[in-house]
Amino acid sequence: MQEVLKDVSKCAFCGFCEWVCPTIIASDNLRHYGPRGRVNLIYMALKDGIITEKTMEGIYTCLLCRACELQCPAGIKIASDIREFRKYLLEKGYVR
Amino acid sequence: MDVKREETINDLKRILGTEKVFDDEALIKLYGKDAIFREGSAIALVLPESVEDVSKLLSYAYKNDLKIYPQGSATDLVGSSTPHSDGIILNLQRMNRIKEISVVDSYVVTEPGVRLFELNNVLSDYGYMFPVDPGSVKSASVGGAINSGAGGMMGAKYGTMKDYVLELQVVLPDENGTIMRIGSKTTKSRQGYDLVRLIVGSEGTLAVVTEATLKIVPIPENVVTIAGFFPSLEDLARAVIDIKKSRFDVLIMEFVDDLTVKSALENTKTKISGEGNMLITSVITSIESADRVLNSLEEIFKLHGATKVYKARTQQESDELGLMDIRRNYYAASIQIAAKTRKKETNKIIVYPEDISVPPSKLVEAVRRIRELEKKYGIPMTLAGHISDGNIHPNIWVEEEDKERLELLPKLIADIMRIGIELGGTMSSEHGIGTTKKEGLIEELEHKGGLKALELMRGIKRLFDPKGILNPDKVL
Ligand SMILES: Cc1cc2nc3c(=O)[nH]c(=O)nc-3n(C[C@H](O)[C@H](O)[C@H](O)COP(=O)(O)OP(=O)(O)OC[C@H]3O[C@@H](n4cnc5c(N)ncnc54)[C@H](O)[C@@H]3O)c2cc1C
Ligand code: SF4
Ligand code: SF4
Repeated sequence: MQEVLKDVSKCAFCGFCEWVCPTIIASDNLRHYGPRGRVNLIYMALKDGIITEKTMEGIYTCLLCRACELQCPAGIKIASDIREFRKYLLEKGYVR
Repeated sequence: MDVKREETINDLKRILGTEKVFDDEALIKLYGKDAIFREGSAIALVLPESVEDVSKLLSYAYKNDLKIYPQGSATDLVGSSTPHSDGIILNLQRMNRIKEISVVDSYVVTEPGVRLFELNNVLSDYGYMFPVDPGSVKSASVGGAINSGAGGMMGAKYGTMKDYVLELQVVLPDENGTIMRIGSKTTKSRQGYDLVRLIVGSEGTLAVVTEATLKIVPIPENVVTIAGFFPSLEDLARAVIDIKKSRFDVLIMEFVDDLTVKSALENTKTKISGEGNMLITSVITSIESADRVLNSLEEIFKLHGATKVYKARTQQESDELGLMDIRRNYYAASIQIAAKTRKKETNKIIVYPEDISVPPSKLVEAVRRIRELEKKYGIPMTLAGHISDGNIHPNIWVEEEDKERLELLPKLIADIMRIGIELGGTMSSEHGIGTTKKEGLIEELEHKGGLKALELMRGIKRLFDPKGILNPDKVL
């Protein structure tokens, strides 16, 4: 997961990615249902070991549509990082 | 969990409803940071859906001495939207309805959680726009923009947030969570002391904004844009003077310094390219006068030594040619360089856009002094800004764990702020004070013999917020 951590740690928390995200729109602006939230939940999990119910909720509601990636000034591969992180969660025994 | 915390969370769930109160650790951490990664903890996160929710929360907070930290999209750059000590994060992004648009009366009534970009998408259907366009326009919320007194590129023509707020509904941090309406739906209003303007830029320390009536303007008939590269900043500044003297209806006037042009070209995708200091100017014209104005602008650019000039007759053409790319990408360039040059690739990077203003005639000197500081501290930066109002944004970046640079950073920022102060400008133009610029505020007021103002501000804070529970420790 080093590559994923390297990628998500570039996030500047600018939020430019959120307005295009279908799931944050559908959730009526819940931050963990959007790309900025997901990227930072992954960072939190990999850096500080914090994984909660809301982490799972955020990560598993992503549609992997990549709309967010076009907006990101840091060039983070948001959808593929989320996909990799899901594998990691499974390996670690986190089941939804 | 300690008993008091648990009791507070249960009370809030009972008063507001379980679906509006969250205590999940990851979620609180996620809402506890901003765009410069100031972080703080909180007992709970509350996402209200109505003014009544906010009122109930503030009344409860008053009675129970609970601190409240209002927040929009948390893109502030001064640590103003994050919790400082244990309290409640009050995020207003779910209050996001546009309630009324009146073209005849030139206003829009909106809740605080609407993003500025979304507001403009809706207004464009009417041929209107909201002209305050911070670099964060895609994410910034109405409530956040009001409370940080935001400005943007079109400030050259339209000014900043303070010029666009007509009426506000706010909730006060008192026993009843009083809901108060101030201002009016007209451009002219002399309602005693101007409390509307007091709330603008108050960084969530006086009241919580739950609804705003904002002035809107028609989308200009046509906008021409010219971009060019000048060998020296002095040449560029001379071109600016001539443009100003020519009485064009300038909409946008931005500059990017030579080193930043180079790094934007090296690190981001841009359609245009060139060497030297870049000046971009957009002017409002009629369709018929577009060519004439563009040609006059080109003459001025060339007279002052612009080596490469790009022109667009319309906004669409400007977008297609990418005339704004370099200016818009300078934030992205900072992130890219920061990521590439990290000592450790898993270290988080933090980009600090600084925000001083100087009288435009002092801009060249200010840029020179900022670049000298870069050499003195050995900390690289990119540099761009709004040249018509002298607002300069040096972008500085650091990575976590780089102790040496993290220690130097506050000193560098203090020195940059001092340039603004000494040259007769200000240490904060649009971003506010938050927690990172409190010392700068004192220094600026001291410099101009205005320290007494701090006392008055503290008095105002006490009047609005007698118990000091609303966004405490920010600004003052
Ligand atoms: C990449 C980038 C570029 C930027 N460019 C600009 C720029 O060009 N110009 C500019 O002015 N700023 C700029 N900013 C700073 C910031 O984005 C703006 O100040 C923006 O208006 C903040 O909006 P927000 O919704 O994120 O507010 P937040 O960051 O959430 O809050 C800002 C302040 O407002 C308070 N607040 C928020 N909502 C309410 C409410 N409803 N009631 C009471 N208080 C409230 C908060 O407590 C805080 O003090 C930029 C930021 C980034 C990351
Ligand atoms: S990939 Fe996921 S996070 Fe990105 S826009 Fe689509 S749903 Fe949102
Ligand atoms: S756009 Fe990219 S850098 Fe900005 S918040 Fe989203 S993921 Fe982070």
